[in-house]
Amino acid sequence: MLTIDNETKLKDIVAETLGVDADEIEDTTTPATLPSWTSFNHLTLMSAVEEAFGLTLSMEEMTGVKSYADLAATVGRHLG
Amino acid sequence: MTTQTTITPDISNFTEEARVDPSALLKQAQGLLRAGDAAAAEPMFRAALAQLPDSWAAVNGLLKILDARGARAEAADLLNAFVALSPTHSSIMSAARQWEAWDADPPPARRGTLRIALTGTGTLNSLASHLRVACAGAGLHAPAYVSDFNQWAQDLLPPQSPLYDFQPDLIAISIGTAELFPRTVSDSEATAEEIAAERTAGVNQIAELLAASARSAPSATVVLHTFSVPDYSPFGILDAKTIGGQRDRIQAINARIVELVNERFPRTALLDQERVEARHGKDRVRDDRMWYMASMPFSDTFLPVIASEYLRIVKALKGLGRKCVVLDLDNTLWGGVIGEDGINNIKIGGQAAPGNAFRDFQRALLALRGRGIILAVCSKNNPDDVWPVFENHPDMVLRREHFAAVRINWSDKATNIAEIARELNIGLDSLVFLDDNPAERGLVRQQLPDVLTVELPKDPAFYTRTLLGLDVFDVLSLTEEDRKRAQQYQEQAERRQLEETATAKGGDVTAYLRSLEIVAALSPATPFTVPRIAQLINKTNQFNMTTRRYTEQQVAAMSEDTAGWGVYSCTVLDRFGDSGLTGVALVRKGVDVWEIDSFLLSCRVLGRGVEDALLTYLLSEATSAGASTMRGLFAPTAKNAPAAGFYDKQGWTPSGVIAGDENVSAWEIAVNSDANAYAYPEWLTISRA
Repeated sequence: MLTIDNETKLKDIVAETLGVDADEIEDTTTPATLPSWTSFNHLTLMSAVEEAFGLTLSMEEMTGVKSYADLAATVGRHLG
Repeated sequence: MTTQTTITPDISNFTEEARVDPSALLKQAQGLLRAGDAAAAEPMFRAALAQLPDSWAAVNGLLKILDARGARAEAADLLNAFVALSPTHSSIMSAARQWEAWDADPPPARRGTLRIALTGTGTLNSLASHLRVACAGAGLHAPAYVSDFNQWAQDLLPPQSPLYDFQPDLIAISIGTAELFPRTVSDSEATAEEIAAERTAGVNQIAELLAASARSAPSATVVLHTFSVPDYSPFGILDAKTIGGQRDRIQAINARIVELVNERFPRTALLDQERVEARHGKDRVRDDRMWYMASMPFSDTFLPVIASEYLRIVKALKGLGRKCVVLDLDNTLWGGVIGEDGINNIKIGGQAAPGNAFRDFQRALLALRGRGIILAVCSKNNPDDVWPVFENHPDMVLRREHFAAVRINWSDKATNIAEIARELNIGLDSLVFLDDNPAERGLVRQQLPDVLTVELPKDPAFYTRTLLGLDVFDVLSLTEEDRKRAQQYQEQAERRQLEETATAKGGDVTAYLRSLEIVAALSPATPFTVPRIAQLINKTNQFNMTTRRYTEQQVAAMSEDTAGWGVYSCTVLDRFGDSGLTGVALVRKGVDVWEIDSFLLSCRVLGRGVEDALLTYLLSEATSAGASTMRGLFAPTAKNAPAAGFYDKQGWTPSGVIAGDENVSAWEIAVNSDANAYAYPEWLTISRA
């Protein structure tokens, strides 16, 4: 689980990378529900998350993220 | 950031939470904006931005509002300021997305537009984003086209393709070494013949790409990445001494590329991929995960590095380079203060720090001078203390004769620097100022914002690196004039001295001009003079009638089209030296009317009758061709006041403004049917090709 601060930070990053407001992002947000979540922007998002939280994701983790909830869980695992 | 300082937001109607927490304020503003209340949201976004200047959410909200009410210029400034403050990969990608959204109706760009097409190995979209944001920072609107994945051959070889339909000004070709030369990179068992065959095939393929782009996009500048050596070799440590080892093979490919470009495609620019990668660290050039997942050849950390290398090329292409370095002395050229420490105690040269660092810095400056950058001195000192250092100190690299202008006095530096610019006849935007004293830098930055005042590091150990890292001294081809330029400015100082003596004695100007023994050589352009002609067209601002810029490719095409265009130049020589090719005229040849599209002269030779001679030459050429009327154009700019009234003074008749461009006025004169009717200024010796 992410702390409230980290949740806010993560949503801000997703919002910036995908060009939407943070309020519009839900756990159920996926590439299918958000047209700007293209495969190219997905990788930009992964880089931005790594940069902001100071962590390194594997290829498997990056390709495994299919929704905002997945992303939050992955970041949560790294932050412990 | 203008947006932070110009508006003090009224926060009286903000909620209590919003007043103390900028994030809450942002959320409230976003909510209002979504509900359509931009007027209420704007001051909130501004207040949030004042506290969170690197917040994309705040910038983005404000951008939407500015965009909606058409405040494009402010929006563009805001975006550039944001990237400058927060140059992270994600900021740059966000900014690029905004620029792309503006492509259909872009904000005004100070330096115009540069259309960039990128093609090569892998997915180059991120590179395009970094390039366009870097260009925006330099005042250029840079719409970008990126080839589909690995479609470089399909995009470059046919006469028509999406890439050519984009009508690029710049075509960048970035092909990975391993894509074109796989065995060269990784095969330790291949024979020399097999490697040679791969090299020949690959280089031939490059030649075809360059030939095709020269045919299909003749006015575009092509930038070709050279091939880099990977950070590991299949030969292990033996690679270094193996003939036909990996490094040896790749260097042979690059040598062939250099030959090819010089022999057949001299206007192609090479981007030194090897050097740029080495500068960054080869193990960080590619993010292997991104390469295997998405074929991205360059990592997030390398992209800004390669974008800034591109910017050097772009600045050279657009004539945004600088011509002169103005140097402080104490603690800039040497360690210590000459007026206090004395000649025997200042730190310069020798084996020990910091004298050795100052010596290397002087060497780097001397090398800049060797490629045509002018050096000048601006120092608060007593001249009698300073000159013995330049004349007698055994370890000085720079000597008195290396400086084209000198101000050693106790006046303020802004005044001195403005004087130096006037003396050298160059614009303030051609100057770079280097001074160790932050107070002096602050003054010059504030008084003369067009001068590039460099943030010199405190430690002289880093002076040389800072100087070499400046991206403002590059040219796409080094002409003979560039190499001689520093010398020419000294000759100019001698001429000025003679002129002052001549006029002080009450002597007439004609006698002075005659004493210069000026020879003006007038001729149509040749393949040898085209690069210099293009260079002059792109950097002459003052005596330039229309300030129309043309690329080297365009000038070459005009000079080959002798029926439609006349491309003429003038080189000037006098008793003090060779000023080189310093005058250019481009004439659009109609059946009856010859129209002077461009007419420009380097300020170094202005006021000596050369401009009259070049115009006379055009008229006599028009006579030979049977034209009846010569038309000259003038378009005023912020800088070309010296050119105003030129056709008037020649006795030509105003004929109104040009249809469709009211900024351009025209003058006309009847062409005399007898070429002998034209006389050149009597003090000039004219040679005509």
